[in-house]
Parts: sequence; C-alpha cells; structure tokens
Amino acid sequence: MWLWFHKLSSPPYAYRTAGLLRPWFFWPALVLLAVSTFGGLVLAPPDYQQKDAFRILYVHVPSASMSLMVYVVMAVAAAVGLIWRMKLAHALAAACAPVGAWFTALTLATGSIYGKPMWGTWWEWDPRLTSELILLFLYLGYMALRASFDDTQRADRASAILAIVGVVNVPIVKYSVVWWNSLHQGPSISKLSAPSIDPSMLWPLLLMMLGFVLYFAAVMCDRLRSEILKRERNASWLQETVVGS
Amino acid sequence: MLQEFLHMDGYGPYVWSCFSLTFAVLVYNAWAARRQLQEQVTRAKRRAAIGAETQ
Repeated sequence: MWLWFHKLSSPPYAYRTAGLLRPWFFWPALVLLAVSTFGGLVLAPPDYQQKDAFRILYVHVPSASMSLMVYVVMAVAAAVGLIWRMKLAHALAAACAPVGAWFTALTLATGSIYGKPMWGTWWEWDPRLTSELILLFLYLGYMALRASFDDTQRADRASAILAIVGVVNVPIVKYSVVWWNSLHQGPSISKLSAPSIDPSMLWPLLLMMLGFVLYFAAVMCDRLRSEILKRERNASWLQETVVGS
Repeated sequence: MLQEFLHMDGYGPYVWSCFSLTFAVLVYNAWAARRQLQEQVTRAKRRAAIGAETQ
C-alpha cells in the first residue's frame, strides 16, 4: 500500500497513469450519462405531486452531490499536500477547484430553475441555498488566492489552508435541511431507512450520479496532467515522456 | 407524442433548460480540460526543442 502510494506520488508515474486511466473513466461515463438521461426523461414515471418538473432532480441532485464531493477531495488532497509536503497532492487540489466551482454554479442554476415552478421563487435566503452559495465563494476564493501568488509553493500552502478551513461548510450544506427549517426538501435517497423514492425513479438517478463521478475522474485525469506539466516544466523526465511519445 | 414529451406537462421550459445547461457545462469542462492539457504539451515540446537546439 505505502509502496504504491509513493510510486503514485511521483510525477512521471502519475502523469502516465492518469493518461492511461482517462479513457476508462470517460467512455463509461458517457454511456452512463446517456442511459440515465433517457431513463430520467422518458422511462421514469411523472411524480404525483411535481409532475414532470421532478425530472430536473436527475441533473440537479448529481451536480449538487458532486459540488460537495469535489470539495472534500480538494480539501483532503490539500491536507495531504500540507502534512506530507507532497507536491502531487497540491496539484490534485488545484485541479479540483475549477471543476468543483462549475458543479456548484450548475447546482445553483438548476436549483433556481427548479425553484421557480415549485416554490414560486428563483431564489430564497434559505439555509441550504445560502450555504451552497458560500460553497461557490469558497471555490472562487480558493482559485483567486492561488492566482495571487507567483510562487507555486506558497500558493499551494496558502490555498491549502483555505480549502481545509472551508471544509466545515460541507456538513452545513449537507445537513442544513435537517438542522434548520428549510424550504428545500429533505434527503430522499441517503436516509438510513429505505430510500423514500420509488425504484422506477431511483435507478436513473443513481446511474446519473455514477456517471457524474466517472466524468469527474476523467476530467481530473486531464487537469492533473496539465497541472503536472506546469509544475515540472524543467524536469528531465518530461522530455522523454512528452516529446518521446 | 413528441409534442407531449417536449411539453413536459407544462414544465418543458424548466426541464429542458436544466438539462441543456447541465450538458453544456459538462461538455465545456471536458473540452476545457483537454484544451489546457494540449496547450501544456505543446509548450513542453517547444521547450524541449529549444533545449535541444542550444545544446
């Protein structure tokens, strides 16, 4: 395990591995997204209360769960980078931020469009919505902080601390609907008891979420590789790997 | 049939804008990551070529 960890933390090895893994994430993701979109839009029956508007949750829920998952990945990578001084972990954290920010913006946008017909408003200063907006600002703040340093190492360290501190917001977003009286509905699928959603509606959602995870992994492969190239521009292995191939 | 499907029981504009927005963001992110990587590879190659010339 530790040997593998050390091997993977070497930039040339990670660069090559990410390149090899990328198609294995990307193509299954594409298939899953296609199947679950069809399932969500065509096969799933309309909801008895929300009618066909409920289909928005097939894109809203996966992007929301990704907005949180990506942040956790980013914060853990930043912590690993800070504690063990691992450059590759910092590279991973930096690569996460823009993708996470996009997922968060998407969550807010689709949520807003979902909110208009269901709640009668595009926006409400509700605990769930507000904490998700703070999540977007955390991502943007992280990226702005990185951009403000010329020195990569200093950018790594400063932004890592922001990422780690900001992780307290993740459980706030997740449990806001339980802790406070929120306009937003409570969890349906992650309840400890049986999920309160019919299997005919649930399967496209689960496939879509898996598709999103694989899609994120594929995008991360590319982003991590360019991050490595940026950081290792003077390394000798680069010439062999990039020019040789 | 198709009309009915696109209509989405009156929620068509909401449903379709959410789905198209989502796929636009997914396509953009995948494309942006690819383009960034290609740009970095091109730069690395150019640096390697300059390095080879000066040696």
